[in-house]
Amino acid sequence: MAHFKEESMTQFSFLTEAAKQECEKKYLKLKAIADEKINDTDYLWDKTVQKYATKIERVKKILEMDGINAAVTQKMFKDLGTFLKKCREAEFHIALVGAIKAGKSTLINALLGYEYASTKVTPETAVLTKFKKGTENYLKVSFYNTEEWERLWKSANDAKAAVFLEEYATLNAEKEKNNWLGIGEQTIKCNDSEELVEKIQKWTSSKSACHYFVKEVEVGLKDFGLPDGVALVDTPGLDDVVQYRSDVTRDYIDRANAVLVCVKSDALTGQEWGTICSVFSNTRYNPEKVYIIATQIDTLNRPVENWKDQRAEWLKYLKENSAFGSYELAEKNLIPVSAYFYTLLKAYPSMKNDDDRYWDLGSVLGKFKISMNNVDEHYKEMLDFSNVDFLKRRIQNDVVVNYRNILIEDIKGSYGICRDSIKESLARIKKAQQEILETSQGTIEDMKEKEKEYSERCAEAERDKKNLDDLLKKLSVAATKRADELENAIKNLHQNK
Amino acid sequence: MVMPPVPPIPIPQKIVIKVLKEVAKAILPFLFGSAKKASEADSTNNSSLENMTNIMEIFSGIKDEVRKRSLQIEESVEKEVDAYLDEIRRILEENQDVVEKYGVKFDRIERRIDKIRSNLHGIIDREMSKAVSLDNSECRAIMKMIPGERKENALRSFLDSAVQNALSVYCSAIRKSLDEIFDDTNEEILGTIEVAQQNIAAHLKMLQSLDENNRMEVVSQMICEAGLINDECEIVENLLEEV
Repeated sequence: MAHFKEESMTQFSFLTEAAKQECEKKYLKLKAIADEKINDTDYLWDKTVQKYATKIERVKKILEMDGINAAVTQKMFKDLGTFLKKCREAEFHIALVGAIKAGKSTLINALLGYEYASTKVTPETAVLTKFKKGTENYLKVSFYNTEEWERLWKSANDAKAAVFLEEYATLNAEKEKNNWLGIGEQTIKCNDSEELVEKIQKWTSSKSACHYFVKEVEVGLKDFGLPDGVALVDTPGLDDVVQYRSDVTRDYIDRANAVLVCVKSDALTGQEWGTICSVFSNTRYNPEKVYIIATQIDTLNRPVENWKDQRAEWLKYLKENSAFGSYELAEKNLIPVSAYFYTLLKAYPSMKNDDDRYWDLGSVLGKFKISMNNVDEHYKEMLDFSNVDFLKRRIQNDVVVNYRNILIEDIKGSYGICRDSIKESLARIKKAQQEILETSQGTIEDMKEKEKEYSERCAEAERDKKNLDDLLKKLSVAATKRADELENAIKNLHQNK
Repeated sequence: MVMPPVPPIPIPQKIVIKVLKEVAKAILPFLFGSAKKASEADSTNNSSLENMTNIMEIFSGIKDEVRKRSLQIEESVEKEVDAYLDEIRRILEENQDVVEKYGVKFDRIERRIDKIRSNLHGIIDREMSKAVSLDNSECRAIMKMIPGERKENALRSFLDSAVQNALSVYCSAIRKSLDEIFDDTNEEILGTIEVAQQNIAAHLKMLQSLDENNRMEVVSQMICEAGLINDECEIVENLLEEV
């Protein structure tokens, strides 16, 4: 307690006991607020961040209190809010992209440890679906607003997206439109994984009428097979006939921390190479964040030998400037996997002999000259071959650890800036309060004198503000004029060509 | 205090526009040359890996050229943004007394401008990369056309529009950045003065209400409020000092 201490009282004494008591009451309230427990569940991902964020939360709460809040600028509150937002948003996004039948859904399921994504033959995912760790199983569905829908619809018509338009008509989606456009985000809690799968299908499948109006689906999983903080994002793909939707994927690829491009591990086709190059086109300055995942290596006739040959061939293309731009990086980020084989091996301990998967597993093992009788002996070796655990480790090391460190360093720097800024403001505020306290101890004449001074200072502040405002406005007008000139010059370039 | 008259704002005249015209003059013939090469390539859905590689190389060449050229534009825009920054700095230097009186901090403004300025990097390149790619439906449709003059013309027109669009997006981003710079500067400078003014006004009001009859009450309130704010400051200071 500062000024209400006995020694302070001798310096700035209260004129009545009641006033002193009133102040002490306010001080106790302040103490209680300052000591209140802060809800830090959003910051648990790192101890340093948790320490800084809870500190700033507490500081913000005090600065928002009556009295001091009037002496703090809105800009400072905004800066503190921005800092806290940064501390909360520690998500590392991994986007999955793949050509049709490239095994993208199978990989997602292997990474998540459950068949959440449909692996049916017809391409299913038509909506950007984000999987992340949740305290419970849930689905958060967000919808397009009318303006966004109009742009999407125009995009579909411009592209003469026949399949899209026909299916829209067949599913009678128009009738559903007004139920969903512009409505707020919907959160659906699910009791178990089966219910989640059913709901995911309902909102993301290209065969459901309502999926047309869904902008994004977030799936929270209680049992999440990847490290905390990772969000695995199933994208509808870059080759969506509706440009508006492929633009959503494109923007996501640009922002994601890592992009896994699924390509079937047999001979690379021109179309697949086109898809790969499109991804690199959208990650121009960060080829290192792209991982080419050669899928279904178990489907090659002789998986080990055939993949060795394919790999050498793929690297010839992947080292080019339109892809990784370096042989070393291409070698490092080309990862073969066998997601279905991995899923079968994981399910093997509880498999029955009449299970279809038992026969599927037997068929893959046959390629390695391993019979079902000695699976146990080769289990670890085969699991290693499937490479899914290796991919998970790469995600952990390259994406989570790396970006986490970058984010923590950034937060540390921002904290320093916030702290210095708060300290400067506090020094100013304290100086002003000291002046008031000194004034309060003077005679009534002294105070009337001070009143005159304050009146002048108030008018002076008004003048200072107006003058600086005028100068800044002039500069702003000049800048806007320049932007106009620039815009006209761009238009003229086209016309004068 | 009498403020000095506002001198003309010394923004580097027309540098950006001059560079823009030069770049456009140099880049369009290159793009049209590339359009000719690309139009000769077969890139239907069943196109071979070699054909696709050939197209990707042409696309890559276009992007590299655009990247090189757009750096020139970006450098000139950066110079112009710097000139605005210098101008804000000059305004504050010429009003040093005001700056010190209210504790306006230029480094905060400068940091923010740096961040806004860095967001302007790579926009033209990114926009062109997005356009000159087979995942762009228009580009894909043109590339699927049968090789020949029609394809070449379609590609020329597409590349021309793509450059135009990339520059327009860049221009909008510059406009947005300038708005952000001025909003932030206003918030920092005028916001600080405004808060100081409001506080002076509040104390003035309190002093104006003071007379012999209510002295005890008003003074107690002044002590209480100022004391409490000081305590709040101290608690915050202690919190920030805690390791």
